[in-house]
Amino acid sequence: MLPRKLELLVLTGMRNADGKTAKGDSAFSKGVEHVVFRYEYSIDSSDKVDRFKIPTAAGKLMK
Amino acid sequence: MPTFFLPLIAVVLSTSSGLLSVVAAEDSVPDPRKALRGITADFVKNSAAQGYSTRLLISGGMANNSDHEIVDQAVSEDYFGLVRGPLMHMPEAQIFRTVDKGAQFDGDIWRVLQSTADGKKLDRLFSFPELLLLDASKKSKSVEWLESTAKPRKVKRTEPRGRTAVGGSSETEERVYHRLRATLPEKLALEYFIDVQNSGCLSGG
Repeated sequence: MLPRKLELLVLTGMRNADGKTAKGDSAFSKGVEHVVFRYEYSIDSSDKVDRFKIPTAAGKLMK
Repeated sequence: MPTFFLPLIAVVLSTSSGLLSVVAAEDSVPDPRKALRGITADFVKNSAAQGYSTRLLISGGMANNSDHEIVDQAVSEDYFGLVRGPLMHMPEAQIFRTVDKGAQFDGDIWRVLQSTADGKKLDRLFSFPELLLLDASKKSKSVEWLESTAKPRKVKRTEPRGRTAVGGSSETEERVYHRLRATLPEKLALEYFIDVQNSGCLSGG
């Protein structure tokens, strides 16, 4: 089995005006401001990818 | 000021024939953690043997609801790459990269990817997906199946299920398990968040 989609969600809670952070999932609940980073990967494994021909100058930079 | 972190990884699976992965009878739920390990191993093996293409959409900003929908977007990025084993090629941007190094052709010469602001940002934000899966399969606090959008399949059984044969056929439902969610430790979320900060995308760089 191969993945077709992959989503990484990074949630960051914020301190409120009193300098306190809600505990657990309540930091990310309705009405509570939080920072969200969502990474959505679409993955297609149906076609074979040919081996890359890396130019010599590029290869040297990756050693 | 950010103080608390939670990373979640959701995986949607498929086979070559469509959106179908683990099928199980109503009374038996496959082990999600074991399934995630199997998927990760298959993906790494397939990456080395035949490769894959991937598009990554990144959105970042403020949310104020439990569905985490972004209401004030600060970051939006779109990347495409071809992966074969440990190497990624991004043809549009003329980039070759490994997990920690890279080179970009600037029209005249090849430069170290991380030597430019855009290259540094890409390097920090665009992880190889198999690395995320490896993190999820090795370090997850919990792994669970998410509710499927596919309807259960009705299958006719002709064999008796128990020792006592009563004869005739019966119909049973087979549920489709193709969506997984892994919750990772806060420490890992902090690492991801530091990568975001170091990418410069939050400072307009």
